Amino acid sequence: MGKTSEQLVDVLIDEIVQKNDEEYLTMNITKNTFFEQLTSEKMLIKNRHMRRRITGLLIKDIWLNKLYKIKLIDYVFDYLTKRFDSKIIANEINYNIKDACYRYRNNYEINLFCQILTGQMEENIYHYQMKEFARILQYLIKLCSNISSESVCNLIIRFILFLNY
Amino acid sequence: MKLLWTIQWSDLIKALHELYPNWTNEQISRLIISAEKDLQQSSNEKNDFEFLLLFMEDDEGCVGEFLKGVREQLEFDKNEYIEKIKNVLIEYP
Repeated sequence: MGKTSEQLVDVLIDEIVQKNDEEYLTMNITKNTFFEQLTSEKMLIKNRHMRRRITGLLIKDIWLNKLYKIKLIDYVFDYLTKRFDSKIIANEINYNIKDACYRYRNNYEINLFCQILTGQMEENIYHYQMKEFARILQYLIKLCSNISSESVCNLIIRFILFLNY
Repeated sequence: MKLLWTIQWSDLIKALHELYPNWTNEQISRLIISAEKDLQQSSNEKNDFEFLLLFMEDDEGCVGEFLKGVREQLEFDKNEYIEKIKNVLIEYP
């Protein structure tokens, strides 16, 4: 899908304005948001310079794997620990996600994820949107008469996220 | 892979009216324009279009213009509802 010139400018601004050249990320321990609750002492976190695409894909994968019943805030660290098979790396990625969320906060999907994790927004906002998208999609599928079993399979694979709703 | 899931533009307009009866013609027209942008196709033609393309995400996990428009419209509805409630509360303290 092509990007509009406005979106391209956003990408440029993200890359130019947001400085991200430190080797380590600074940690401000405030203990009251998701990102700070995991460590109790000051330690150096390697800056992995996460780019927008990787951040977006990681967030998408977290949503895809998360069960509806489990709250996002309770799930992210478990996901990262399983994914990277290490609590230390999970912690590192966690802080890097926080850094990326700040740098790419003008991206809707990244910003929403971050706001849910920091308690500024309800997780239901995300689920409500997905439910509405699924409602439109399901309505259009019903209108469609030329259905073959092969295309049904392809559809389910592509839209598993929507069909969960 | 060629997708076989096609509907007519008029079907999409009808679907949106039925799913969201409170949305105005103007609001739905704006969504159709967003859908045209996603598909790079004009809705004036009586053509079929592959509606699944409206639900694709780009390589960064972002939705297209059509779903962004739907999202904004839902947000607008929510704010309008909140305003209504506020006004009711102000009128009856």
